[in-house]
Amino acid sequence: MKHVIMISNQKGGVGKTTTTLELCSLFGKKYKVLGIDLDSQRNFSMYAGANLTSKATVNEVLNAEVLLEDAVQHLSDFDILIGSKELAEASKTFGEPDDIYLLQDVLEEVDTYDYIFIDNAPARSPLLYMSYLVSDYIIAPAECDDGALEGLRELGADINRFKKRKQTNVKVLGLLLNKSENTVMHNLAYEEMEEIGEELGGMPFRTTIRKSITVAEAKAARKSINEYAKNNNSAKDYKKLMKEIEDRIKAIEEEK
Amino acid sequence: MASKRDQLKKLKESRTQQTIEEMSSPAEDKLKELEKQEELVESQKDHKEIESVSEFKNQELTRNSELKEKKEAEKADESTVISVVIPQEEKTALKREDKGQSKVEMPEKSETKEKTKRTSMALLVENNKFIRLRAMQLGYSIQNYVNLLIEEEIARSKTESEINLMEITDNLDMNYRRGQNSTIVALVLKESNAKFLKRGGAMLGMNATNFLNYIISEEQKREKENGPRKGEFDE
Repeated sequence: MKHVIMISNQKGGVGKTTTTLELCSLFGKKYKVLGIDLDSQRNFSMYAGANLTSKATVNEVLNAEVLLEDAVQHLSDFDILIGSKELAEASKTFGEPDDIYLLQDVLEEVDTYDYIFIDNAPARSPLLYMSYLVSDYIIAPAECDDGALEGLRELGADINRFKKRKQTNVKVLGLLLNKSENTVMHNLAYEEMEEIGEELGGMPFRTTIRKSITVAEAKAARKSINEYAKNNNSAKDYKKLMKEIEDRIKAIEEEK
Repeated sequence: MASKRDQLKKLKESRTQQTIEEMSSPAEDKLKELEKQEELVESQKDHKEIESVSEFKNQELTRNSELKEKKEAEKADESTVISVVIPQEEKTALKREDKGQSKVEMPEKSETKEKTKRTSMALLVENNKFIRLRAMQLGYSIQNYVNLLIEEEIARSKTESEINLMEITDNLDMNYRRGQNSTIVALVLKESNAKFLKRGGAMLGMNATNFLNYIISEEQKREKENGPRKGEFDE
């Protein structure tokens, strides 16, 4: 059974792309995984080491010019559908009300993957709405910052809007405190995330990702942190996070 | 103009038709398969003919080596058997240790009612003296006494108006006195109390240590003004 998980927060720089890359890389060692880059900055595709010169991007797939299976690039641990700079114009390109179902149509009959992770841009756009409609779960990273925590609240408001129209069954799998340090402010941020989590119906993950400069080094090396420095604190944290994600999904599905 | 969704549908359909066309004419496919199989069989035959002599030699060699190994194994006495068994036990023990370690690496929050937190704080010498003396006089342990003081502060913070920051800076300049005449005291605080120290202190621009010092100093002041509090065994 395939699980579609979107990584999203309206605020930028909270670690969405890093989280997507790490999860794709870790899950990819155990399952069949596809990563989709819905950000016009294409950082996820770049850090994953994909071929950015390829003309078959997510933009072409959504515009019905190329089929998904032809556009997907096969990396060592997972498959990737790379992003496109043209996604910056998404509000114009996918302006028709019907267009928010495009990603759903693309992934509808795909059964070759166990997990599909979607990296989103930090902005409201038709691409974000497409993700809401197609995803089973949301992982929302945030850092110790008022704006990031506000971003989580906005995310909650968005989801409720779609749920009211019965367009999505997406569930908040968990909130993730990124770049954490052992300080009073970070503890307070975690407590606030617990409060927000109660509103959103998805509590923060017990695992928080510790801040580390190695994350930036790994990106420069075009590798995941677990490949670049597996004994690094952040790398260990992501491994714990993977276990927690598996457990949470298992618990939710057993409830069903 | 057709919508993107319709275009996508068409694209998908054209792909499925293509594959169907490629898969059509089953008779031809079978013929191709049969041809391939024949080719394979022939190539295998060729290989076998070339390798048959060397294979025979190889088989003999392996047989001989196997016989030798068997004889050696029979010769081996019981001690070797024991020596094989012991490391297995050690291995299982090691595995157990490994499992234990991995559990330690991933601590899970235990759901007990009275969570405590070990911490050490630099108390001012006079505060350290005060809590030790008063705890003894009142019949509490130092830990219980400190926890009691914090709990009272929590209750006060809920009912009373906010602490006057000016008063703190006037009466007890904690930042100035930080590190001076202080002793490190190990404390076991209730988790809620430790949280309050951090949170409350942060609200007042102090760290937890300074906030605890403030609470104890205030207690001293209150006792001076209102007289000593009654302990567990006082009537």
